[in-house]
Amino acid sequence: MNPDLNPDVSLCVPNQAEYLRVIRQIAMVVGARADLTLEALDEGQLASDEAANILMKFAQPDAALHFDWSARPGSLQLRSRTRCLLSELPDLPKTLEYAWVIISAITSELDIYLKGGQVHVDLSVTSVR
Amino acid sequence: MLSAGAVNALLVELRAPEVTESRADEIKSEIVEGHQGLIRHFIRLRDPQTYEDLVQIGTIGVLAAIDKFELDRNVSFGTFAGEQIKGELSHFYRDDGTIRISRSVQSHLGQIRTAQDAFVTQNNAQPTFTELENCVDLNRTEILNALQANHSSHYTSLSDPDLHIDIADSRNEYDFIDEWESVRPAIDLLTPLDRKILGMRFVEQKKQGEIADELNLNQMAVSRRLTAILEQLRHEVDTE
Repeated sequence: MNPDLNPDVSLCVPNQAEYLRVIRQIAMVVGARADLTLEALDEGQLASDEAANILMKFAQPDAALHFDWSARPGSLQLRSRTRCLLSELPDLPKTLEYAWVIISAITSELDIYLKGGQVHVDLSVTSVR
Repeated sequence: MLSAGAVNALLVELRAPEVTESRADEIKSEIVEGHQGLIRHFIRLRDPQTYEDLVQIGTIGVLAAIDKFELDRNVSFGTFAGEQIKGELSHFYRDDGTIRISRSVQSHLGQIRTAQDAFVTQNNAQPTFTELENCVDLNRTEILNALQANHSSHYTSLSDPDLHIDIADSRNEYDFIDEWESVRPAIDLLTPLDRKILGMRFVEQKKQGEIADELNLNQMAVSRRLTAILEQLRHEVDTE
């Protein structure tokens, strides 16, 4: 994933589940710009939703969630972050349980890491035809 | 929300032969009150004109769960009540024209599904968004709105012949262990078709298109089912 990509859409929302709907809708619109297949469009929404849930799990209660989506031909990329509660991330497969299986299965690239006190979830979803 | 243990204790008291009528009413009220959050979780439309009606319908689901819940099942009352609430709401959505997905969006979904199937038949590949756009007489916004509606649980409960296909019970076909342990009760409540779709996608790692081919469904139907299944699993985690 290119860290210098200019996002097509940026969003900053409070750490609250009611914003998940907005996140899914934006992922779909940006995915359409990336000319994804319907399956990849669907999984781009799901991946964005899972990324948001991961951020919410590790976010400080008053922290905002930041999302940057980029559309590339056949690929939707998301960089997301929030201020983290923890000083180091736990074993992710063990902590995220089934959510880890899902996000790993639907993304072509996935990177979850801690940097500068913020937890980052970067991922991409690619059309496979 | 009441804890699973607290609900079970109340149900044991409710079903004891010596319980008085007034105490039984108190217990039912307490359980219903303790599950208002669950009812609200399943009510997606916040239209104030129908919201209170929907809460009442959800309450009927909780009361049905109180009657039917078996204490020795390896499922929490919340999970079971969730299914009953969804069932009651589904009946309402099916029977009441005011909450249906609009006819125009249903028609757009039909056009998209037909165009997608035709494209797959001709090209042996799923269409991209632009390819699909070129095959239907709809603009981008109409397509996006229709795809969004495809995931609406209201639509899922309506006129979806795919949900009624006959499939052998897949309860033991996939080992949902390790990472799936926390959502096993919810997986056990899935229909055989849903369990199979979940296993094919995340255990066998098959793509939605492959699952659609094997089960003789449309990819959009698989997508719709997966969204609903994952929502149920997350609900199980949230209410634990």
